[in-house]
Amino acid sequence: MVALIGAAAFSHFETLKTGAEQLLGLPTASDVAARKTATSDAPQPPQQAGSSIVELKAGRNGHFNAEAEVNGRTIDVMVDTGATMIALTYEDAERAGLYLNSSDFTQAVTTANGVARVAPVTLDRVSIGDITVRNVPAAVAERGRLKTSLLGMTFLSRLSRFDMRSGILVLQE
Amino acid sequence: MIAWLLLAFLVIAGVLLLFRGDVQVLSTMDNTEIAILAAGVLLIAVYVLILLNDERSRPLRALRYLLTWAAFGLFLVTSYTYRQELSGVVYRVAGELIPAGQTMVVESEDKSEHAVRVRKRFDGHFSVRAAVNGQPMLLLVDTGASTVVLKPADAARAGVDTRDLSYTAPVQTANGLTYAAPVRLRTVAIGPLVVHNVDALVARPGSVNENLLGMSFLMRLRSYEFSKDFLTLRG
Repeated sequence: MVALIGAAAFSHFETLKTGAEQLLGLPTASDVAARKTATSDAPQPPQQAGSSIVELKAGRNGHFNAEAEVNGRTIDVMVDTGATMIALTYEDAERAGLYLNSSDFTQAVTTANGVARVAPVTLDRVSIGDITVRNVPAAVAERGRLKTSLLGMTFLSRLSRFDMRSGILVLQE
Repeated sequence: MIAWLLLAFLVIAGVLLLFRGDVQVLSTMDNTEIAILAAGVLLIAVYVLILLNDERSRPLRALRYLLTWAAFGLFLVTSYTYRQELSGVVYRVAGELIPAGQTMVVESEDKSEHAVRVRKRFDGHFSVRAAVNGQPMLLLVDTGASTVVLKPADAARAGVDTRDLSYTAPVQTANGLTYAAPVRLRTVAIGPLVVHNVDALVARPGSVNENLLGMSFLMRLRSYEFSKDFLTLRG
């Protein structure tokens, strides 16, 4: 059953094209631009009372990156509909105050590079801009396995909608 | 016979009464509208006459038949009035009945735009049935994948020579670095939505268990929208 649930848990599958910056983990110029999140004032569909909107610009390769606040700490994430859960790198999990030991990595998930072990966790609150989602199931990857933390479906499916048009991804609470 | 004519007259008078005796309404109608109205009134009159003739001794039953038809007519008119709202309901019902991955063509205001809709899978992901180089296959919609990614078996079906692949493209996964073989697909089509010359990667045998519809395809669309249980792709 675990294998079934984890069947598409991590399908983050990113080609390396930017060379040195990517390998060193340094943000590229387009990355920085892409991470700027802003509350929309563009003519988007009618906004319901109390529903927040966040806009993200496409970064390199068309991916969408955002700054997420997890347990009060800022973490860079990539929007990934192919990831079942929010997936945190080991390092980002530590920054968010989640200290794990090897016995916590109990769940097997299928990735594009074979089966990986992850630590299932529940995040009290995850915010992007004005959008906040509470009690989000997430998984922490083993040290060095995952390059970027992923904003997977456990977060995305709690939004009322998210859509991409002309290179802008709009998330609506 | 005179009784029937009297009845027909009463029915017509009744219809006129609907306009609250306002003959002005009739004078504002053009000939076609008057003709349609007259035909309608005549049909109703004929039906009422036949009914009264058949059910001469059972007036209650005649009344029941009349009311049934009136209710049916009202239902049709109401459905027609709310056809916009109902089309949403029809889509939802159709969406529940079709298997996940099966795409529905959605009408679009813009004639040059094609739109398809697909329902969420039971595990919360979205997959679509697409034709890759004309061969049907399921792909998982994955904004975290840089390109379309194919399993070797499906790549072979799509006409890629899998014996002659070089796994040279480094790929970052959730489980470390791996390599895949870059190829170019002639067409990736989801219903009427067709994208030509799509960059793709063929994964090593056994490494992925699903094909991925990644950004090399999604970037070429005008828009895609995830809304509750449905994903709508427009291109």
